[in-house]
Amino acid sequence: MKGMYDLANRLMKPVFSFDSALNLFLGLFFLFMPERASSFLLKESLFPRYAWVILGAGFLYFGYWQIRTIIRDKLGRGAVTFSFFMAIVPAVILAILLFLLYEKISKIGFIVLLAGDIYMFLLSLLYGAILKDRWE
Amino acid sequence: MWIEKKPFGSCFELSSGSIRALVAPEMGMSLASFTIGGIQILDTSRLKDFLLTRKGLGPLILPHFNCEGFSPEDKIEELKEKFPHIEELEKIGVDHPFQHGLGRYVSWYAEESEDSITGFLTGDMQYMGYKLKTLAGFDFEARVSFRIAPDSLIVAFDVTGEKPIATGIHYYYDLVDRNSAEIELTERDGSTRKIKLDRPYDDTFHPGSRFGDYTNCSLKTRNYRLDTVFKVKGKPEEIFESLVIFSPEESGFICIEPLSYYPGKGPTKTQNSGVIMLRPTFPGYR
Repeated sequence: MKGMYDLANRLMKPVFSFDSALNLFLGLFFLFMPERASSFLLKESLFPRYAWVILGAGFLYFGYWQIRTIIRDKLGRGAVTFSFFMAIVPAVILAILLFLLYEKISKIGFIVLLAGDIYMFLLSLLYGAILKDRWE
Repeated sequence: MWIEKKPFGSCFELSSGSIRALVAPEMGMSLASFTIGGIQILDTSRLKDFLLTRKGLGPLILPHFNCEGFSPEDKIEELKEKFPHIEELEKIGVDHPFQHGLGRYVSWYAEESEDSITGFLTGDMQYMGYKLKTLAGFDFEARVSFRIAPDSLIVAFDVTGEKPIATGIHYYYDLVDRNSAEIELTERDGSTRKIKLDRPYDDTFHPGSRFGDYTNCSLKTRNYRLDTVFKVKGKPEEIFESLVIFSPEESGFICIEPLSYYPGKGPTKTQNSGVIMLRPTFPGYR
């Protein structure tokens, strides 16, 4: 168990930094290329343009918050708890959507979204381990 | 490793495991950053106060404390031109031009090794055209080293003076959340005192030993725990006789200041070679 927590502590900052870069990229992609995002992931247009733009703005703001948190060395209990929920809640929602909209998602879209979902579940595991190790 | 860090100038970075410390020799050998696992332990909201008057982050106390040191009154106007902090101190009602010791206001000569940095000051050194012994009012020599150990930062003093000196640290720690923060310390009679920090606090203690010749003041916050360990028994020049706890109203910080003498009584020792160990952990760690 100690080895797992040691690994989580070692991974925390690099993974958090990588995740912030990923969120900024996704934010810009959804915000400025909503049509391309829709056609890449879905077989048909299911959501209005503004839904992609809102999603992009959300990713962008979360990525900005993560970078600010790293720069200011504020990776405390509140920040990790918030990040945990920002990983697990979208992961659950995406898993449900993958199940419900299976027919309407492109093949490559399904692979990418499934990988993203697994990534978010792993992120929540990491943050959960950090919370348990440092503050429980 | 030396890094250029605005606005502190050349800083020396010490790191071990999840602990990282940044020491700024050009800023009075102050601690500019102290983190554990990406969590800042110093109250960074006081950066501006640190830059203006060294009232923030991690300044040192030496070779005197508070306003008990020599004050070059006849030179004050002349000094103000070269030391802008003097006017800033006056604005907040502090008359002493080098409150809490000259050491924090001058640039130090520093030498590094792999896991430590040592700063030097002597009375004959010049800063802004003045000999330090002229500004301090007496000749002195100071050597302060910061060394990183696997689980702690160790601050070691070696200060001697022609007249009695004072040494200590005056670090501003982030309370994170006042209402849940507390400290625990051992008093001279051996009893343990727990102090909730949901209200302002300003007091000086005679610390008692907790294990062997050493005592420990433990700060517990929502994000981190910090143990300040120092010697209170043994050779007079190695011990810290008092512990100042300072956390004013509506502030987000607490200062935990082991001092080589008891403030108010006046320093009596002309030498201090005390060591302070700062050990940060997470609240969940035992």
